[in-house]
Amino acid sequence: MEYFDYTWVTFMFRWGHVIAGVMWIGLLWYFNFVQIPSMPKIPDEQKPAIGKVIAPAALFWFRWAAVATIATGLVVAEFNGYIGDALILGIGDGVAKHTAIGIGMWLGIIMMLNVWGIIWPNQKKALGMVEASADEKKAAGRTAMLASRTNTMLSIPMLYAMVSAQNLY
Amino acid sequence: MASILKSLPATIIAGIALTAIMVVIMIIIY
Repeated sequence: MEYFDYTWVTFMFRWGHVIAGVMWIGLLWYFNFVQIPSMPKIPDEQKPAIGKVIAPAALFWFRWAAVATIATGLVVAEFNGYIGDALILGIGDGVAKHTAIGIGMWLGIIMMLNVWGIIWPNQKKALGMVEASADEKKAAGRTAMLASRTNTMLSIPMLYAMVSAQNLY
Repeated sequence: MASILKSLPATIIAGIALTAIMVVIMIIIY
């Protein structure tokens, strides 16, 4: 194999895509499998450690990893020459790989829009990073939790679509 | 939907169900 050629550079973007994706989905699962279920068990006087320190730091890496995952993924698809066929789910060319990766790409894009459009704005209110009344904080926390759970649900078919495009088709 | 998403196990089962639907569609199409 050759280093620094087109294939290698494309692979470097895929490597970056996997690293960013692990950080994004890893933190998503941290929120859903660890932090949210643990909050009711934490004494009130210790809750600020999560709300004021850990959650804001985790959310920083979470939302920017989401952007990095989508950006590097789109570069990989473009460099491999299937971005257009994948985004229309392989309709027209009848290539199963394009349908599979396309489903994964759209699920990932929807999840990224969910992060920036719903989860992050509501978390800012819920964690007191922007002004909000007590009622608004409570409602924002619930909305953010449900949106985060939606992404957890979508991550399962998204990863199937991504990995099956690489390995089954 | 919200009642499913409030439960983590139900969320995971829903994710697996969505995956199964996708697999069936892929089998039908290809």
